[in-house]
Amino acid sequence: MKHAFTVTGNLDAPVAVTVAAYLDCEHYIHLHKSLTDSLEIMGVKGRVITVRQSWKWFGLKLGHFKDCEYIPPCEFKISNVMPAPWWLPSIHHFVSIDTYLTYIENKETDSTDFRFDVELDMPFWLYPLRGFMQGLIEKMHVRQNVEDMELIKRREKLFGRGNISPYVAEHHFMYHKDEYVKHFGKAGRAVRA
Amino acid sequence: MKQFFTLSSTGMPVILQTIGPADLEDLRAWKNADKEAFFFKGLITPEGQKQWFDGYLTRPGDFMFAVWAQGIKVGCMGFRILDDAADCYNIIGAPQGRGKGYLGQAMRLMCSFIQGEHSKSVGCLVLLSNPAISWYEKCGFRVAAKKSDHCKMELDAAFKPCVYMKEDASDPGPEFYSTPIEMESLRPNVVNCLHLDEGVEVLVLPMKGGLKIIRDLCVHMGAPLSAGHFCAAKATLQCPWHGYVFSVDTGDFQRNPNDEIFAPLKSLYASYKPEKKPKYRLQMLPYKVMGNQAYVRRVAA
Repeated sequence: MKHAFTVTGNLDAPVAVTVAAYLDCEHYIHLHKSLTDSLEIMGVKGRVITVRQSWKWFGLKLGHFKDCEYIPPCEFKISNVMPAPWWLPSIHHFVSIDTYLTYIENKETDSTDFRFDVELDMPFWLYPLRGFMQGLIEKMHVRQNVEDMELIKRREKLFGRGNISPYVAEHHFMYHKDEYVKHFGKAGRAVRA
Repeated sequence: MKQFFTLSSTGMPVILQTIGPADLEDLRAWKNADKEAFFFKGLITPEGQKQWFDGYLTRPGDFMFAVWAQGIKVGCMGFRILDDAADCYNIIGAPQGRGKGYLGQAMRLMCSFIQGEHSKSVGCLVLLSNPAISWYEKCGFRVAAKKSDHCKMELDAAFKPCVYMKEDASDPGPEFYSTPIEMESLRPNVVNCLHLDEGVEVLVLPMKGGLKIIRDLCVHMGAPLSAGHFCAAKATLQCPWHGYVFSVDTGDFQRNPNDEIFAPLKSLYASYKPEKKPKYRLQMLPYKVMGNQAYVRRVAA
């Protein structure tokens, strides 16, 4: 049985900055350490990067595999979420989770509107827990946005709004960097329709 | 008007700073604990100490110093200018500074200053019962005359003065932030976060060999390092945003823990050129110690 929901909102930062912050993978296990302890790259196929995201729990390394896809310039899809290790009793054995995040440039306020679509596919006996699962996912999404915005706002105060120069600097690594630079340039220009 | 200044010498860990009201309680406690070594054997009250200090402020030829070493107050000593000589007095080592040679170095500094500024012979009166007579002899004094219960000691002609620096202690100067760091309020082995003027925030780490003062700003992306992880054993600081690790001894970038994680992807993007990585370095701020306060040199915006 399927349960879908959508979260929308606005991030007070230019879209070039919010996309850069999303693709800036080096901060995932540090700034978002409350959400992830470790990350491993399991494979890459075009714009899809398969990762193993883990948490330490009583000496065990528990987590999941997932496919993270970047659809330039401003869309991010997560699918094929599977437990890691496979024998782990996990909700992911029963519930398929696909998420689709879209950032949309808000030209009026030079900010980013977002739309976060989530689709859960679960057996009927888990369906009564759909509200609980939705709450958890929404909570994680909010937390991640809050932490990213703290970073973005501090950088904005120090270096100016829309400053993406450290992200596009040649020495800085981020996911799908070539695609990002192709669409946003090195000065953080707005996305053209 | 009373002069307030500091005396220091290159290579010497000690600094002499003319005392202020904040030093009076230490002086009183040290003297009361050591009263058998002095001519006046009564117990000094806070009121009596204050009365002495009020008189001291009116005597231009009277100098009393607090002795500082490695950010700690380790004793006191003073001198007063008489007609024919300078008389050293009230030389006391604090329990936490004894046995490390600090007071001997401070004595050499003070005597060098007396000779350099006042061209007077230097002497002191010491009770014969005071075991510190041999310490004075090590400092270059010799017994010039003996009385029934005390002796007069004079600095020997063979004394070798050091080169000293005298700095005004009432104003750190415009090149320093005017907000001082109160050394006594710093907690050891942790990051002390402090706000200076003009919105500048710094991390202060009291370590062996002095303070490490670091701007609270990661040179990589601008993260607040105060939210990072400080490892006292390794003397490293890890940035809270990207996990970059820096040495707090040198400020040098040590490692990027993400390198290994993302290694499988790093050859995929033409716009990423790891060989162009800059030499990141924390912004270590110079400072000067004035008594129990440290002043941080201004940094460019």
